[in-house]
Amino acid sequence: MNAILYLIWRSLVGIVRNFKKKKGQLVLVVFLVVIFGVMIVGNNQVDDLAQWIPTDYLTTAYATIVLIVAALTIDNGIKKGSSSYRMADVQFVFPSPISPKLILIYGFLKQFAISILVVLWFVFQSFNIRNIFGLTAQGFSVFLLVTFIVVMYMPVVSMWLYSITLRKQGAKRIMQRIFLGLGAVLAIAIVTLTIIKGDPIEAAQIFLGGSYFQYIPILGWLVTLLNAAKLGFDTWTWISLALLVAGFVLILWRLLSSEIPFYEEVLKQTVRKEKQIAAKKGGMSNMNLNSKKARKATITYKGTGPKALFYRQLLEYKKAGFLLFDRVTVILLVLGVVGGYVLKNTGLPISIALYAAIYLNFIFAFSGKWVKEMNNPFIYIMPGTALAKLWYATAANHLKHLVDGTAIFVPIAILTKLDPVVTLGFILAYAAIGAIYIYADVLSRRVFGKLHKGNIANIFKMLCILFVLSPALVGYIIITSMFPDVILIQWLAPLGIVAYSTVINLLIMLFGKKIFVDVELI
Amino acid sequence: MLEIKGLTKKYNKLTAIDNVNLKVESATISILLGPNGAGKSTMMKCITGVLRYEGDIHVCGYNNKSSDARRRLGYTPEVPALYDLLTPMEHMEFIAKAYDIKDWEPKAEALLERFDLDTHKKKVGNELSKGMSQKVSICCSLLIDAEVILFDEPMIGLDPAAIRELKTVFAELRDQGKAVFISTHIIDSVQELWDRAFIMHNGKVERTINSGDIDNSELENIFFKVTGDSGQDTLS
Repeated sequence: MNAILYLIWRSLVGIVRNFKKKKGQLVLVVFLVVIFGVMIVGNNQVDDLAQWIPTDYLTTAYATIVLIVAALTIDNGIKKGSSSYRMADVQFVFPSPISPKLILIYGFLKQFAISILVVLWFVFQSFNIRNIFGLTAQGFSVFLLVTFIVVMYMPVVSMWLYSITLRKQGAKRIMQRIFLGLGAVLAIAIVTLTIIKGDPIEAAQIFLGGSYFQYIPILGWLVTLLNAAKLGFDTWTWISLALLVAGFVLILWRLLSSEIPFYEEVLKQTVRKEKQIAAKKGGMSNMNLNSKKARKATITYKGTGPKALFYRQLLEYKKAGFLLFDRVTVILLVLGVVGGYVLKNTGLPISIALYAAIYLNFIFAFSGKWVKEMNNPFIYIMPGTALAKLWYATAANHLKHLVDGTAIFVPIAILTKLDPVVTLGFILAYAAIGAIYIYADVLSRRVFGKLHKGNIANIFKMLCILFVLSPALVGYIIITSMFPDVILIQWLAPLGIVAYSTVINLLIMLFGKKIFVDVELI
Repeated sequence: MLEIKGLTKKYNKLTAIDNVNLKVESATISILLGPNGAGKSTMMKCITGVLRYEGDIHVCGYNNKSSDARRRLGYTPEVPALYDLLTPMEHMEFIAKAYDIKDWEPKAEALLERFDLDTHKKKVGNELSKGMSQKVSICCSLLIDAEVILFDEPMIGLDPAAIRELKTVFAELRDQGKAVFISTHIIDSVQELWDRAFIMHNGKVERTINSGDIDNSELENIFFKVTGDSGQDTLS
């Protein structure tokens, strides 16, 4: 144990030392701690919340998300296991004489730290989540507890299922079929209910909110515990919490007592994880790391010089998916349909859709192809002006935002009978604000250099973007609420956001244009 | 062809390159030797213009950061970085378009064939081994028909056949009147090829040697004399 404790201790010391060396990072951490403090204090003092969506939707939405995440984690877990180790662990800890059980515990300790970080991320979202579902401060604490349990459970369950399937030949396939069958039953039930009720949201609510659901191990207990966020604790809540803790301990115990030959399996997952971390540090999304073989595709270059960057990126999009239609677009399309039904059922103002989409774009915006250009020397050494390189390296991303904006707003427009001109304005506003995210990212890399990398700088960047965006968004609210019945105003207001964003984009481009000139600035 | 005057590169307090002056002439193969951390790769990156520095670097009389210079400068980086979803031929097409090269296809095909990449033409960047990626990177730098071509540790990861082919390419480039500038720490790999050698140590070019001035076998001894103990871990 000494070696593991030493490793953990020295890693912590290393973090502190790093702050000593990189004072800029320390400043960012202090800044975030202050914001975090404000969030905690503010959360306890603010109880008069807007509640955009009925609290009942919380359980349904959360259960749906947990189901999807669980399905993906379990599927991946059965196939490859799970890992919270780094390559250095694989290189130094695994071949050492340290007991495999201790190594496993070390992995769980690391997972514990990750779970805490996930919970902290949700604390930053506290006002949004509380506002959307009208949760009290205590209710939100329950939400955080459930999230923590979910994040702790997923890798342990994955590893446990994986260890079971390792023992018998063919068990992996049987296990996958069982889960596939369960998924199919669930899907058929929700689709049938949707046909009967004519509304997928109501169908999901009936199915996932049913009282029998609490008897389903882990998922049912989680939902029961989450119900306490709105209804307070009762006997069933305590029983569910106790069952969740007992279940976790039991699975952990089973895992520790099993003989998993996990070196090779963990290695696969760790290599993948390293790629994810590298992608994240580079400011990219890791959503496309799962991508299978590249499709056959061709493109005709209709230009030379920096324009070649644009066509090459289009070729990559074609190879990875269907033109600019990829996994993110599908997710946004589904969210557009769900959002359309929520707006239709609740009668919420349509502007909520715009804000929600802009917020979602926050999450997906920093995954553009332009970020990858920085990892390759070609763009720096090729002929062309700095501004042309920046424009053509990001142009495909603007098209992608238009496609994604269409995926969100067209279903919403159909379901809520939104005016076509307003819909078009929303799509353009989505793309224009998406461009702000891109160029703010460019500028952030120019200004902060290597400091830019990492979660802390990302959060700081997001706060700055919110600050820049707020005049346009506030202006939009004021104008559209002052003249709710003047259709011309409703048409022009989204275009106002587009105009404002274009000016901001041009300014940021001018300041950040040298990003592809000097490799030291990133 | 390539002229460097008063080049100094600092990383905070560390001086990676200290007031270097050198010239790489047309129709020559120049090698940049030095132990690990001598500043070889930093110098290569300064020449390509991707790093900030003090001093002047000119390629065929143009400032190295200008588009005119970039059209005349080829570069094979130390670590190949390819696009994950592009095949070797698609990399070549992209480079041809980026540098506005006409009738590039026959040359691209010949280069890929020469480096045995034609048998891997369906593989994309993330499916290629390190050695194959290095070959693609070399082919890309050769496609642009540059006047000055930089190779930063080009032999690393290559199989013996590719190393032999690359050596032939170096000689051909010299015969075509190009200025070839190779950074390497494996003296054997450039033995009998080089016309001029620059030995770097602690960021300075400590010695410039013309091949006609010494016997080939003496280069290694001179290298150790210049670099002292730090050169010991560098040679093959």
